[in-house]
Amino acid sequence: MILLDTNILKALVDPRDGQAGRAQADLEKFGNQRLVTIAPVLVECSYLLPAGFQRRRLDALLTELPVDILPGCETREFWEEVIRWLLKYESHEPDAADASIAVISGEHRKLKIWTYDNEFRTTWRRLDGSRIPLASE
Amino acid sequence: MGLLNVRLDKDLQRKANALRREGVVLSDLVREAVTAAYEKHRPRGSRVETLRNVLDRYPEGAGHETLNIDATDRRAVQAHIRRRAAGKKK
Repeated sequence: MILLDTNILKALVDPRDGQAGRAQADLEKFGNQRLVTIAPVLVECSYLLPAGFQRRRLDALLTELPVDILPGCETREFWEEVIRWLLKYESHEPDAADASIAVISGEHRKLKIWTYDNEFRTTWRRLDGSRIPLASE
Repeated sequence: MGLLNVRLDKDLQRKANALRREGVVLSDLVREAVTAAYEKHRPRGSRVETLRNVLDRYPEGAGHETLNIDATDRRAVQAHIRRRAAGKKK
């Protein structure tokens, strides 16, 4: 199971994005592995993909690829973990979407994160300090 | 959220009742079965083909200016979201 980060969804929806070619190649490479994302990522996407045609593309991709929305981000317990993670990395001023991905990675141990954000390689870890598995190394 | 009504014959009804007694939540069972069947039966064309289809189906609007933001740059994304959020309040 592979979780798509904001930068991947933007790259897939917007062919002029600097990562679009790489994202399409990776999409092919991942074959039919199950794709998922989480609500905080979609909230970020709503800011980065503001035009109507972009939102229609995003909606269609979620349905047709398909990309499932993982449940679990709406609970108090989840947000307590997110806030713990944000405080742990306070000096880096991280955002809630990255925190949510790190927390969900801790809950779904086999989940791989598809992102081109280098901080998932260099800096971010799960709350227990373990590495976050990435889909695109 | 949609609702699915399913007619059960006597035999299936008996089995469903037995499952309920065992603590199985039948609505969860149906959701899992639909998800599994969808995975099995959905069109197996390449996902890149699906992507190209979607991009063609919803073409870029005339005069659309693409956001010049590197979405892998967290600080650039944060600054953009702050600007948009501030704009909405005005």
